[in-house]
Amino acid sequence: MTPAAERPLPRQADPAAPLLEVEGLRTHFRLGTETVHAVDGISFRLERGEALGIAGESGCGKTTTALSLVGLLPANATVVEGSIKLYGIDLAGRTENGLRRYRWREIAIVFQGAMNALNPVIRIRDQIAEPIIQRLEIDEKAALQKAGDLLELVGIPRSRGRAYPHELSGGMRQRAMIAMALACDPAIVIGDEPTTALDVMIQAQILELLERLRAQLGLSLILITHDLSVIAETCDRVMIMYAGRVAEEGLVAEVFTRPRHPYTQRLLGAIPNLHVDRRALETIPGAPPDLRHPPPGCRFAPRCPVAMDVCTSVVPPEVTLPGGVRVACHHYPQGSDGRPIALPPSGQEAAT
Amino acid sequence: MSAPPGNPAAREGRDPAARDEVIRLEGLQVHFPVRAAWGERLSGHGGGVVRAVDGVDLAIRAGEVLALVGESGSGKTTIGRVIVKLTRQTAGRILLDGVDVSRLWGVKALRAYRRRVQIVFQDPYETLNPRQSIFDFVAEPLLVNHIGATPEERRARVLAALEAAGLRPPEEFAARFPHELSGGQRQRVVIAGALVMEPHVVVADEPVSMLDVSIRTELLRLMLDLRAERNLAYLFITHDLSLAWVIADRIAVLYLGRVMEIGTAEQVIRSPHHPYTAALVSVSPTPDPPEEAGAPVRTILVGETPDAASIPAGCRFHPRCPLAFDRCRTEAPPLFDVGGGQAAACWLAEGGRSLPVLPTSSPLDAAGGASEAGKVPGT
Repeated sequence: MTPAAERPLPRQADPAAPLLEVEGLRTHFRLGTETVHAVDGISFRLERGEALGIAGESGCGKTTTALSLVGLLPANATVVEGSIKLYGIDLAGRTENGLRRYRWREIAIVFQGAMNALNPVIRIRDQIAEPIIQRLEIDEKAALQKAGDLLELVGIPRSRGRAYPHELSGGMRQRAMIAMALACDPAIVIGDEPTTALDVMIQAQILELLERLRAQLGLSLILITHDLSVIAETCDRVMIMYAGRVAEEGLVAEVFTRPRHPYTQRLLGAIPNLHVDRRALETIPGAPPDLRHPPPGCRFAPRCPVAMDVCTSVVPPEVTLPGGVRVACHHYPQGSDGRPIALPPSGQEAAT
Repeated sequence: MSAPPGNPAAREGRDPAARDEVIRLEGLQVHFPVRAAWGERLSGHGGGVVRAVDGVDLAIRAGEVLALVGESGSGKTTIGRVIVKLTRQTAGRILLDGVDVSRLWGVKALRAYRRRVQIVFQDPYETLNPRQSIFDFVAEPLLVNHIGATPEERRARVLAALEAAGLRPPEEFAARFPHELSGGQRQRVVIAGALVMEPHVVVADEPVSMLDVSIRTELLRLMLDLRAERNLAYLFITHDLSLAWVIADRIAVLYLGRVMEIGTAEQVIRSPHHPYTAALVSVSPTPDPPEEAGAPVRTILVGETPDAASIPAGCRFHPRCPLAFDRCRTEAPPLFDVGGGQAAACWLAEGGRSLPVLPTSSPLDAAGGASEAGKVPGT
């Protein structure tokens, strides 16, 4: 496997540009006559060798963001605005043909349900070799050799390559998916809930594998998950999304120790933690908004314990605080010193 | 047919220590036969049994939350199904309030039992019928079990259950259909459906696994509130040790159909005496940034849980145990009492000894991945 740093860049690449820069991305779904504002103006960067975690609850737009990056959106979804720049090359709004040069070869994705993503009637080794033959234009023998190398890299004995997907366990199938994603030596691997369906011990094995590959191959990683604990243990930076927008983004060490946005504070307080006191869990009453009719102003305002009048009418701008954390909340205006706002104790509110 | 549950005469002569036990399992065993494939039958191979639950003793006390923690294939769901009489045990006894109900079967015989013992499943989307109103869903167990003499009485019970499950105002929710509710509300409806029977024991099989974290905690609180109000006992089945930590009084850790360790939540999480528990605790992710947690000290076990059709000899955990020695390969350890009601099925816990430090893994140790792969048994 070629480490990312030694690979030639695509022809139009700007060597000075960040690896990946997403700006003002808006992806909307058509649902009958209505529009679902699934991703509604998000921006972020990914530097070489970095691991970024994108977290949020169901419907916050994290998976839609990932699918927008690799151009694998369902037919009723479109990127309506914004740019996705890889080495400075804008991928947004490209045709299928224009994207082919980059998907898998530059940005690869590992999905959650390995059983659905693998072809049940083709041997694992052949499934990995096929895209190598097609995209890298090398002969079958060399491709099969490389497929075997990839399997060993992800911890599957070469001989198991002859197995069909159903003959492998869930953890082994997820390893095979990772091998497939690595087939064309991509610079960026996106994991969309790569460990969600797995047992905790297998999850630990897969996360360990991803960390090892990152170090060994110089990969950049985008880890999309609802599980903030997984991000705390594997990522450098975290971006918390809520209802299609960025709530807070910054270094893991900063966001997890001093969460600023009321949503981040409550979300972290709601996660069971073996290291802290039992039954100190916080709750977030209410439910995320219907993204066909998102509320004006801050989208978290209807559930926010410290919402002010301005929150229900004016969209909070994204402000970068000292320490580099970016937060979208009216409690942190431009020039704020970034001291976290104190929330009232949770729990006595109405039921969801 | 044994005596009906709750018969006071049958309670006499019981062990006084067991007086507050609502459910007791003794030597519970559930083996499923595996039918041999056509080709295997020709060659005379195949068949065999899956030992899903393989000798489990457990007791749930009144008003207690007992968490049953295990990975897939540990038998945790099967135990839950046996307790609510949806799966038949192949050996062992089940006692409700000290009365042997092992042989209680059939709709009529189980009517009284089902008033006492209810189940909440994981997926509210599958449990609810999209064409059935919330009222009809919650009222159904009353009709099936002939509870409530008049429609008015039944209506009152349904509304009370909805209210207890936090669906207020209950009249409004009763008229709705599942698609009009959020995921959290649906699971509350499922809980109301269990509460309407006014049970003493609720088996909750991964009741919050499908829900987002922000909604989860409200349901956990609801379950704890109901326990306080009604002295409900829960068997809380989960794969997530950190959920067990926040809700359970006691935790039982299962592996391949056996209890590996049992004790209070504090005992099991803070001072595990079984290597399997210790490894699970070490890999359970926590939302602490690395700086605060220190370098992550994780014990990542090699390989995967073996098939329940071919359980290893000796201690069933020995092939994956970083501390295994000769005795473990030949002799299965019983549950050793390690003090304060905690017990561990490990030779290292014999005589109440504490567990040696487990070897830990570093993600940057490339050899770790390769050697691990070499040992993975073919599935």
